[in-house]
Amino acid sequence: MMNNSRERLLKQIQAYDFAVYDTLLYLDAYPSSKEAQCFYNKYKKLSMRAKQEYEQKYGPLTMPEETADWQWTDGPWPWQADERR
Amino acid sequence: MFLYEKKLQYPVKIKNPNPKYAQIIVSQLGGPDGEIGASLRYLTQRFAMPYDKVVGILTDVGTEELNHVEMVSSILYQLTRSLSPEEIKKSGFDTYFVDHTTGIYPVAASGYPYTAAQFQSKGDVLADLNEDLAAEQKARVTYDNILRLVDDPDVCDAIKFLRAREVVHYQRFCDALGIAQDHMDSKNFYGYNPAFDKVKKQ
Repeated sequence: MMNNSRERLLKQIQAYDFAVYDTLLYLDAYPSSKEAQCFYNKYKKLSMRAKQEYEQKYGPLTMPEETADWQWTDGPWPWQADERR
Repeated sequence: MFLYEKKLQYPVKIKNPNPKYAQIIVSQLGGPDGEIGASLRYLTQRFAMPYDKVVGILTDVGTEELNHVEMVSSILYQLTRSLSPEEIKKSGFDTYFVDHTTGIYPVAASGYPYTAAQFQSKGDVLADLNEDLAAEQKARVTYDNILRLVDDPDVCDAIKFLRAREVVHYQRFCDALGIAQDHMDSKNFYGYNPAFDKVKKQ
């Protein structure tokens, strides 16, 4: 059985990052939109905090900051939905 | 998922445009041993790879290849800046120019457009990793051949970096093959395909 709280936190990060990325595209075209800037800043911050928590608990999401306990290649990889839980 | 970093992996700064060189080097973008094929090869193969460490190597090398796609494209961009129609005709770059102007488009030096028929994702651990080893050697040879044909130090500097990475990737795939074989039956490596036949739990 896979860790449910890990799944939940990852889903939260996906939601925050999607909000950030979608707003990134919008800001590319409308860089001075105050509304988009606020939205971007809000979700970028939430995403950063959630990622920090995730990485402390479950290992790196991207290129590791330091080498102690190298978990970078540990599964499950993102596409391994069920079989490895 | 992938994120973009606004930098090249290694600097590309070419002072003198040279469309003839561009026409040769474009093969490492869209040619049979080019960087697009390399990145797609590893990033597709990793889905069938049953060993986490090897998935990591395929992911990280495949990602580095995307950097190399960008570096080769930057070389091509800088080699084809501010050309006159005279220079284009004289250099033989006209056959590329007529279809793509100075836009970056993945073709082989022969003009044949990029095709995924140039690589395999076989879904077999040993076949895929052996393809990867051969691919790195073939790309290394292409860079060696480019270095035989090009004598601009600015161009050679970037090409030498890319060539060296082929050698390093080859070594990492040797490691990957070793890791994979450690998981397999040394009495009969071909008894089953661990990417398909789910016989053993790792």
